[in-house]
Amino acid sequence: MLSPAIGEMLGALGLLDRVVGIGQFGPWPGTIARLPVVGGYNDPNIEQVLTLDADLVLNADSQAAMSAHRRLRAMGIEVMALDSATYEGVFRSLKILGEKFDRRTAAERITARIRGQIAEVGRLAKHLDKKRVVFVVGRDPIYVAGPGSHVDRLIRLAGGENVAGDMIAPYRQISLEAILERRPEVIIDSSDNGRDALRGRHHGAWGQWLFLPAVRDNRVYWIDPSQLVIPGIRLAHMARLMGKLIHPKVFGEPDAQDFEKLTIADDGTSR
Amino acid sequence: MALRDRPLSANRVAIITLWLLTALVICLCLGISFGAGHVALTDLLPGNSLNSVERAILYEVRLPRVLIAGLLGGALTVAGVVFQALLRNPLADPYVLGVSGGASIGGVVAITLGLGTVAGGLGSMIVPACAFLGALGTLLLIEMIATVDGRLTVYTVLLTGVIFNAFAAALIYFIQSIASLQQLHEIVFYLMGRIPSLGHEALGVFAIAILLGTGALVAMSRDYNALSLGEEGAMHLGVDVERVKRRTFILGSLLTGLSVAMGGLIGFVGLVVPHMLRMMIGPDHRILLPAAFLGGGAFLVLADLFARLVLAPNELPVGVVTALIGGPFFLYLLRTRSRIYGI
Amino acid sequence: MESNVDSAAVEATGLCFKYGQRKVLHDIALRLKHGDIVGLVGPNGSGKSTILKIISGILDGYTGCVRIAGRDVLEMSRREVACRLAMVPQESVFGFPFSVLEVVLMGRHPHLAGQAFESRADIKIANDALARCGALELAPRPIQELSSGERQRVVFARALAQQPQILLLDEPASFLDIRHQVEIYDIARDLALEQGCAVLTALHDLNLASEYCDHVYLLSSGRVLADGATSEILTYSNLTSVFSTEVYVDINKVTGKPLVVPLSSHLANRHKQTCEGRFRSNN
Repeated sequence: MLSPAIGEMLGALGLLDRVVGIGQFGPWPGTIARLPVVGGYNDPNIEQVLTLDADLVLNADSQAAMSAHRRLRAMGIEVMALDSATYEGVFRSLKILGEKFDRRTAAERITARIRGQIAEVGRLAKHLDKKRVVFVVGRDPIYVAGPGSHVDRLIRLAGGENVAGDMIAPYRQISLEAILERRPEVIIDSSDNGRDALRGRHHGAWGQWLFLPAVRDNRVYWIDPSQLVIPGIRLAHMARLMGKLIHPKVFGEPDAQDFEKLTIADDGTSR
Repeated sequence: MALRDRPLSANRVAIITLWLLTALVICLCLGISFGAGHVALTDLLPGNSLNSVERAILYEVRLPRVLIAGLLGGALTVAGVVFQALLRNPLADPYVLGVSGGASIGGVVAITLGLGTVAGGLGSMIVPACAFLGALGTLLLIEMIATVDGRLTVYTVLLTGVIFNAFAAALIYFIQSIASLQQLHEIVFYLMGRIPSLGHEALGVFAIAILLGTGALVAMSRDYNALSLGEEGAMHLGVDVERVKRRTFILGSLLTGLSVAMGGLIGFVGLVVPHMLRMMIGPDHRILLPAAFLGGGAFLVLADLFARLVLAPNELPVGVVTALIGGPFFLYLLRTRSRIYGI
Repeated sequence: MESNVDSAAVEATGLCFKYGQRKVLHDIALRLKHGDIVGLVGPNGSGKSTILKIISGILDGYTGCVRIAGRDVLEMSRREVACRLAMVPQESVFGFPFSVLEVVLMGRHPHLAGQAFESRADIKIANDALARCGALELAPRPIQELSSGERQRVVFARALAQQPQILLLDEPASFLDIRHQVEIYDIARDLALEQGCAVLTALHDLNLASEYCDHVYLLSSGRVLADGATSEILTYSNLTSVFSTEVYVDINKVTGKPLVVPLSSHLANRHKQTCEGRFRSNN
């Protein structure tokens, strides 16, 4: 099993004991974090998979991994390429996994719970003033989440308006001056991943632009990318967190843990 | 090509320099005038007033950006010219002698160790600093390997450089294969050519370093003319070839290392602009080198402007633009000028 | 000129040199006065080019000493050497498309200070040098477009523009037709006679050596086998033994100087007998 989003789903369905190998890019729940690594989601290591004698490979629906998937299937190993990068994809994947492992009711229960929680966030945010939000994923050059990314959908759900809503693809390089001109009221920056990375509510590098409402109102957040960038069954949690970042008066202020690197528990819940 | 039947004079140098300086200033003004934001240089004219956002965009975003683009383009083109002169090979570019590979390793290692931070201030200079250290280390290594009996052998320098670059690429692939997904993205962005954003102090230091390096290379321009007659030919004309080679290798590598540390691998500038200029003003390095600094600067400022404007507010990586302009142009040169230019 | 005419323009003593383990020069001594044209004659690999490189100061690591106007060449700066000594190599490389005039102007390099530009006087010197080599009409053309013979004349003009007191020529006439061969050596002779220039030339064409050289060093495997006045050195016995080839040596009826013609191998045996017969009877 190669994609952390699928790892979370398996955890939620109580299936982690069947996992024999994991992908290169985490985070993974503690019990399986030490299992052999069988390559990245984009580059599964066929020999490793054969060595582990796996019956089934679960991977993200990745273009780069297609040929590896074909070869694995030709060797008699079942491969399921699941879409976990979009809203509906997450629910579809849960359903497929539920059917495959005979956990249909559990999958339906989880799906209903997530949908309900997401709808609740949407309901709370519906009548609030839309805040201008920018979600930064890379710096120098500046990359932001644009339309088509699930981050963009979360922003809109939680009562925000993505200032990069007119980009041409989900994650794009944007002109700094475009961000400045659009005066974001909330800046969520996930670009700092160094050893002493900035976390929480600080101006950081944005403090240079005092005229930005986000700086003036102290609404610049530095957050670990694992909290919001990787989709999965944590969508409900993500929607809630996005609500806290954009409308803390309604959803409550985020706490320190909300900015740190995720650790995933065995049942798929995360902190 | 117009025949240059009169040899170079101080007059002609002054005139060409003035022309190119004007071109550079125009490019800089264009660069400041246009962008994703809706503010132009003309808004500075009396009768208009700027709000704080517009002021910030003009002075804090665009002005430093076009200056850095100009400095990077100038440094890369000057390095390209002197490496072509040193190796007497028109295909040489600033990255051919391996220092860029060393800078890349330095930067990538710093990212993977989590040394860089984007929180602003000095922290954001850690990755470029490590990259520059990588460039310096490579410079010393290559010089050590390529020095035989106290002489720098140009072919060994070239060969060592090419091999070191291949080694660096392999090492970077290795690092990428063990890096986290987030670091992987950072590495890819880092290596891809870009115009960095620097604070005023960093910009000042960068500018002084590049101007000093360029000046020291310009001071050897007559020696580069003689060097086109081969190393022995230049010695017969009274050039201390060993000294010129060593200084050129070191200074050119420092310029390249600094540029790569700051801006990643911006391709084609240092390869194509020297050839464009040779076509226009001839091969005499006494004018070619100053022209390379000004013309290379103007070229990169324009390429960056293009990268910012085409899909604004989306930005293209500037390396994509220089390659898209430079690649076809180079093929054109190859088809039409290969005999004269010995490409 | 800092040296008086009697002292040697070039004096080399005890030159020994190795390329790696291979010894290519053995204890060479050589002397060249102002106004002299001296030839270095010998088969391929006999050390002619190495001697020229050592004298011009671009090769070190030898034992022995080369003095130019009384000073050790290795103690002079490159520029000091280039102000006195010019070299026309066997072949030249041209890295970039400089015009012919620009290439000849490079001969002024050692005489210019800093990054200075060539003055009107320098351009006149270059044009005169081109005119003297019959190459003035080539002046605006890119050097890379020229034939190898034309290039060689340009390189010779560049050496003239250097206004040397010592001129070293390494087979300068290899690519030239007979007219231009003669032209180049005529110019060299004029330089020697009119300006007291010392000319040292390596050459394969023994008739050119015979015609132009006052003095010849006959080299074989890095040793001087014989040296002296040209007509005393270019003899049948010297040449056959050094080149291991049968030659016909006679007196040029026009100049009274030796005339040398190499013979094909099927003529050689017959010729050898007659020559040896004559050689015996002469003694």
